[in-house]
Amino acid sequence: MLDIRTEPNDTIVLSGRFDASQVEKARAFFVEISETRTLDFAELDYISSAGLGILLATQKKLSESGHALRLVNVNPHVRDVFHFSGFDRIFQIE
Amino acid sequence: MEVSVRLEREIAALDDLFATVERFVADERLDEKTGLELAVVLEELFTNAVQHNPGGSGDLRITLRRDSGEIVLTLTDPDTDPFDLASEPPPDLFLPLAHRRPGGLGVHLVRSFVDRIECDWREREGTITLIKTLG
Repeated sequence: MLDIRTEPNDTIVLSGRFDASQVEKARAFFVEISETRTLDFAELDYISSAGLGILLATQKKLSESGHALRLVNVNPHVRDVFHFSGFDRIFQIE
Repeated sequence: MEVSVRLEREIAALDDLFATVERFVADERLDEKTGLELAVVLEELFTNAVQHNPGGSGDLRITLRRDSGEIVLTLTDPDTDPFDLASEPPPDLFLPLAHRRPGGLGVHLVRSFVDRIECDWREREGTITLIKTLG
């Protein structure tokens, strides 16, 4: 199960598992994002290529207007998935 | 030990797949990193089969087995055209953002997290076997 919530400071917090069964829920949320935002992954335990696809589509859309997603608190496993996918080259990870 | 599960060809069956992986990881006392990698690998194989062969008949079968210093994973599709996972071209990870596409990432992750991939097909039954050497 994936949970997505927005903090008062506009940081988006993802928690749980971002797998193929969560794609439609995530797409409905991310399609509404139109400017630079921080994604806090501290509570995100797992991501697969399905989740990466949603983040990639959002990053591409935002880049057309000079905006981007910025990722913070990425755990080692999720960081590995980003690394092996080459996504650490197209996302700012802090 | 070996655990196995039969899954309907629908993404909602992923919950059963993850529960099976968690049981295997706990029984074999594998570390969290290995467990998460096994989950990614099997999710990618399973969703690939569901999305590319939704009309196949019969459930998909997945097994996990520990064989000395290796983990052996299999996914069997009882009704599929021939395929060769190992021959899928890798995605270009160096493309700029505007040219990146999500296609091929799943198979690429599978290759990244296992050490050997074998594909077998006969009389419409296809089996993918993945071997992961434990560190």
